[in-house]
Amino acid sequence: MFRLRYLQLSLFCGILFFGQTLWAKEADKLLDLPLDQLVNVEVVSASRFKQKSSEAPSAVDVVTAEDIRSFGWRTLADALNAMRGLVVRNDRNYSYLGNRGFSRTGDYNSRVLFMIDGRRMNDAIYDQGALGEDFPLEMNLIERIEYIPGSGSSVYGANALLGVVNVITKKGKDFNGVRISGEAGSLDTYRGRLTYGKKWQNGADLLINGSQYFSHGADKLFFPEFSSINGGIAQDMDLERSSRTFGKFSYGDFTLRGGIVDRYKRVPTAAFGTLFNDKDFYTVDQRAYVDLDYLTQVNNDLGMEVRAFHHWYDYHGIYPYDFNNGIPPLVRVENFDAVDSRWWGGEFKLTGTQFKHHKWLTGLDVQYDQLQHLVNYDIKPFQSFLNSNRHGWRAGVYVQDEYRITDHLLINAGLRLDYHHMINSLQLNPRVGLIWDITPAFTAKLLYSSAFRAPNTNERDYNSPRTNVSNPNNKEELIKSYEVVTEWYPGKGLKLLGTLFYNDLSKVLVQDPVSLKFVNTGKFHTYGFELGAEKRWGNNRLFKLTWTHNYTRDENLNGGSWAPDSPKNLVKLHYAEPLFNDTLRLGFEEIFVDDRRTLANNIAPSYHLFNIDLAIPKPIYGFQASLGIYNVLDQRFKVLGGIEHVQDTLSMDGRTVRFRLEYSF
Amino acid sequence: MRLRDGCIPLIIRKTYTVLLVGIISCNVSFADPTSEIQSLTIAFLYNFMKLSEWPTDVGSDGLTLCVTEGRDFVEELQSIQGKLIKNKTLRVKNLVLGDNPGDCQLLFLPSEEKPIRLREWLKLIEYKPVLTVSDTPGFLDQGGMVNLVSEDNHLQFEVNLELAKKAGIEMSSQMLKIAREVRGK
Repeated sequence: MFRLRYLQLSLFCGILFFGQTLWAKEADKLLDLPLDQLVNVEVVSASRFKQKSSEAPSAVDVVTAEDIRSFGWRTLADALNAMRGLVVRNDRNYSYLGNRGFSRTGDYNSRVLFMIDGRRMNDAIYDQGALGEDFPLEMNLIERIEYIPGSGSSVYGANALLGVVNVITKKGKDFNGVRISGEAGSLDTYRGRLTYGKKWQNGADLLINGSQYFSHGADKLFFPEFSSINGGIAQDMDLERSSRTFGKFSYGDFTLRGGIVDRYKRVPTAAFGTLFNDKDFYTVDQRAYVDLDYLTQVNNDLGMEVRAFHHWYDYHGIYPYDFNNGIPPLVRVENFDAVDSRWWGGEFKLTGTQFKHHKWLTGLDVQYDQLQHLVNYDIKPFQSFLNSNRHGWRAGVYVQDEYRITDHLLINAGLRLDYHHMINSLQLNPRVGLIWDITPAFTAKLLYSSAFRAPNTNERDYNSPRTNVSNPNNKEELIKSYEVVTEWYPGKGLKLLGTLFYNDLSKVLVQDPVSLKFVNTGKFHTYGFELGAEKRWGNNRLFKLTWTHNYTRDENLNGGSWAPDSPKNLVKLHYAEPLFNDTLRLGFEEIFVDDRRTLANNIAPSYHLFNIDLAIPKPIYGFQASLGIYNVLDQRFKVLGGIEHVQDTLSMDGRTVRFRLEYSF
Repeated sequence: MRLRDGCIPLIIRKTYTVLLVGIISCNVSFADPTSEIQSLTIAFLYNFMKLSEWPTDVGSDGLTLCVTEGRDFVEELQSIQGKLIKNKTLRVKNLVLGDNPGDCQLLFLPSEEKPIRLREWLKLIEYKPVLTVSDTPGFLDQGGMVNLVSEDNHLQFEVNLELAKKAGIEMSSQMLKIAREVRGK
């Protein structure tokens, strides 16, 4: 921790020194050039314009940096929870994403692909997508978040079963100087952040950010299931600390990115059969990566991207438990659980427009899982339960073509072949999208795709006497998804959306409650629809309403029944109003999550989460501020406990407040 | 507590060294100006407005440059907002489907615009004095006036003079001289 802070400090000093002399207003200079010189200006970071969402083979949902400002989302989890069809569950250790009614407790977001600027973030142990304070990026660095529902293995390979989340970062020029930010909030929560961004005359752009987060959490958390111990009170057990650094440097066609996050969480739930109210029960997650990206336009009709990356993920936790398993006397033993992993590889991608009416894309991804090390042992008396090592290759080749058959009709077809060291067979996954522009304002899409997910090291190798048994024989799980999307733009910037979807998940890896092994017995079907309306005004006023209705059936539960943790209805309303010419901005957020069936076959009741944010969105004498009130109605809403919890449901925090002040210079 | 203590900090230190070296080396300046395509496109549009003449009754209270929603220029557009062209203030307007483009002096239709929408926009301003510009390949054939064409990492442009004349727009001889191709001279 100390070393990290020292590095951040020395880095900022260095940048400030170099930054002072180099600034010039590039845009203004360009405008002064006469036309005969403009034709000689060379284009850098060639044209890879965003695909129009109405042409994407999916019902894409996007939130922007402005939305993050308007609604005061503190983490990626907050932002995703605001998006269509998604719901985030937090068990006071990690955050988990449910998609269109599908969510499995005990899973670490392995069925959604998470990316930062197109680079895969799911780790090589749990395939975990970090959403909370363990996500490598601070919210102020996010330019926009794209959520692409449906399976996307045809381009992205493994894990893109239920959707793809791509987080696009800002550039240094978006900050153009130093920004200091301080936050204080309820439950003794603090955050400090220092950002530096600059773009130089020659096009070089640098962004660097360092931050520290601390939250004491509620002094007392009451768990009625443990009322015999300390009156069911977990005292000072919800503590969380996180430190993050992210840097991005672009010059010409090259971009270098690097991020590190180090996060500590005390776990108050006595999960995994640990002792209740024991302050040594914690988890630490450390994620780091570097990514060198070369993106160029070879000629007018051919673009190329080459990428090299290296990732690290370390985790460890102390799990104090009673050696005698509840039979007196209590013998407290600390169990040490840890992983150590690293993986690296490269990506090569070509995009072309040589052929009239065609846009094609082809690529090769290679990843070497160099180290996938799991250990688990009791510290004293020492007893080892697990020390597994694994390594191996993954590779995928893919092609995709977007063919405009007529002015009204577009077909998007893709195919990907994957090799993965965790499974024996090659995986072939197609995607076909038919996009029909019925009128200039009305588009309909017909989509089909399939995807796979290989068992992760955790599901394959993990072994611990109380919770898991390894299974060398488990296989990949599969999904086929079918969707109809209609988009209508009736005018004045209003966008209306309707979707109809059906997901067929088979061979899903579930943990067998008896053998404790992960086996491919799960079978789930989801069908549902979504309706949405969105309007954005030029002055940053926003209105957005979405409703997702679905039914997910777990075919193994009572011979086919409503799946646990699957709310049948999700309604999200967002309204942002600029006041006094956007000097102040008021954001209202209302999220309704319907009843969910719990693992013990009870009902976790529906809840409304209502948040208000008041912000000074544009600097006044360099100052910006925001005041967020979360869970205004003070609802003690409940989320599901997993198989690792004694609790059937877990109560979440009530009303909290956060104040943030920022200064830019 | 970590299995391999110090592994991550070392890597980060390396990353920063690379970053710092990058900052130092980016001090070097180059002879040929370079730009991102967004900024360059806006600079072209700004020049087209400077080098064109509209009928006298048009744009008496300022000049309006319109961009349809296909592309997200945001900051680049802000850089020309309020500039003076022949003593007239330049306004920038983002158009969404259903808006009337008749008040625009220049309408930019990004290549992301779907073919049927592009046609719809062109239909709405037929015979009106609106200079239409796009970077869609073959824009002149579809009834556009100025086509931005990228060639070997540079932007060039082609002009359909006949169409512009019909709409009552005059382009300066300077603009026509620089154009890669002029139709209907």
